[in-house]
Amino acid sequence: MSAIGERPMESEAIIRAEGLAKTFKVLRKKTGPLAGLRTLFSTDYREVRAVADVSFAVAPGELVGYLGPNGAGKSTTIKMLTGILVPSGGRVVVDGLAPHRERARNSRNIGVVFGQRSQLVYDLPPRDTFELLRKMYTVPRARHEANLARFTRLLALDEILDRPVRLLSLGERMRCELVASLLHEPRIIYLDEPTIGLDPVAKETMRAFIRELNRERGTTILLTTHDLTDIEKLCKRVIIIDKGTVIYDGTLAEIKRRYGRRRTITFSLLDGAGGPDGGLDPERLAGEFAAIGDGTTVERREDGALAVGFDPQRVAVPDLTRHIVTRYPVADLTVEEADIEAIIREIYGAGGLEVADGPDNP
Amino acid sequence: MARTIPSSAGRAGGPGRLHELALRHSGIAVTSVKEKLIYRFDFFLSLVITLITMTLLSFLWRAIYRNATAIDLPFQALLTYICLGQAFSFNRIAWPQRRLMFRVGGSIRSGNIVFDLLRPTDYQAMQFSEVLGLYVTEMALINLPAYLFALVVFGISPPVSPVAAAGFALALVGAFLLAFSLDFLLSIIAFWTFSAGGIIYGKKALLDLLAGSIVPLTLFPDWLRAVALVLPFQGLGYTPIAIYLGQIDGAAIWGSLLVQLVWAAALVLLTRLVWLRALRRLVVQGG
Repeated sequence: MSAIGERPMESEAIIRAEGLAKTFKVLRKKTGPLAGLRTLFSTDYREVRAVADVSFAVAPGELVGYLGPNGAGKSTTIKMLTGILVPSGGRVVVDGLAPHRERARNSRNIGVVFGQRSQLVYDLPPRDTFELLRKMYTVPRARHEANLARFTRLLALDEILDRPVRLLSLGERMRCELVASLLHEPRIIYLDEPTIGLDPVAKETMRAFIRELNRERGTTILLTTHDLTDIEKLCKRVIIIDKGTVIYDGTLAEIKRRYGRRRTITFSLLDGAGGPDGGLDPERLAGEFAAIGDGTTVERREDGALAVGFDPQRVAVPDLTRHIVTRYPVADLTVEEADIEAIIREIYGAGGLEVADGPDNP
Repeated sequence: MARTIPSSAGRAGGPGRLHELALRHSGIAVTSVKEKLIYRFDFFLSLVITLITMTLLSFLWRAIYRNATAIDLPFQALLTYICLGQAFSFNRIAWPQRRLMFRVGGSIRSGNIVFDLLRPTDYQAMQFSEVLGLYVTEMALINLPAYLFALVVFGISPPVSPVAAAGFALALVGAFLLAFSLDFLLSIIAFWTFSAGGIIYGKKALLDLLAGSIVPLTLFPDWLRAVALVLPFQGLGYTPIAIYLGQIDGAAIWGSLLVQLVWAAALVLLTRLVWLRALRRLVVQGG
């Protein structure tokens, strides 16, 4: 997959990564007496490549989705952009600075939310963390009050500000995490899975706020998420990485145009039909459907339904439907357009031409 | 489009910087104190435990003195020594001592340390301010009340002279520096050995002996006293108390403060090196 799309001009980029790489040296733990101490001064490593070769540029004011399956290297990239990880190869420039060399200065330009971590003082109300951050970044009091008032209004924080963080729901806490990352008015925000674990309403609040931040303030935002609704609602441009390399950089529209032609026919069988192994041997099924048309795939979903993916220009919908209803005792059948999730699944799976099955399915 | 200068580049140096630093670190200290004052009862319990231990030790020593013939330390001096050792202990298992052990290792393990590393300030300096705030709080809520209790109830002696009082106060500052660097060092070791609990209690046992705050160093067998006097731990108990009592006086006060300070500086330096190594491992190798 080649990189396409509206890449910002070199000189305009506020975030630029060139051939960025990160190889972790993982220490082999010592055992035996004083193991901890000896581990501390040990040099016995094994190497793990988290990011192999990542290049991209983000223009000021862009809101870019940074996607990839678990372990693809997303968080590692973000940590290098923030300066808390030193790259083992390549170059990063964020707002004119090399983050790892000028971590303190860089930290004034950026705000970070890690969806799985917290920067709020657990036993105190968020207001106390906010006050600490005001002093940490020496934000003038009047400016701080004005910002906080604005965030309080946008994120409905009135009742939350003075309650200890430990009593907040995840949704409430995440809104405060977002505020905590913004109080020093950074030009760039990294959001690493900010909506993880939130209910749909809370997600929507977060999204509306992120959108407003980007549009009204022109804040540059790099967003990683597994929730593709986040991407659809927020990002024009996405960068997809897998195994530490960029496999797509372009618009969301382009992805849909390129991959979105596919349709899926999902059908479930009548109760008891097919028997325990169901005569649904994956290999046989794959062969059967591949014979109907090139690139046709079969997937057995968790609820037992079968999903047949195909390209409607190669296989006619009526033909495929007829094939299914004459061969199988069908209880229910639907034809779906590919949603972004299916598309991404396909890109991650590098084509996904095999029967993708859980280990406990036949 | 012309590149604009990042907003942070224009920040002033000089006195502005100093003001920034003071604001930042007072904020850090105040927040950590506020956070731990949620556990007021914990401080109160520490005071109660201190008073009970103090009372117990005074009974014990009273009994020993009643039957002893050859202790060349007057009972009043010994009682004062023991009570000071409890009142101004740097070896409790309370918030100031536990804080680092839980904070450093815990945040490395949970990954929350990323936020600390993202602040425009040094991580170790941040921890220093947090712990300083807690020790000051401990001084107000435990040490001074326990000291007053000992003055009133046990009738311990006041400092032998104004110079001794000043020397005592200075020695407490030195003791704090020792305690901080020792705890910081141990908390990094605890992180790598997964044994925070064991280290906390092990340290307590060792320091109870070698700081000389339960049994005065002067009553130790010669060889053990010699060992204790070449180690830094005496600075946590024996040094301030002996100055208070006039056992160390005159020019010797400066000498022992210097020894304490040199040890504190050496430990701070060692801690700094270990921390930079740990930090390098974190940022270069990712943990």
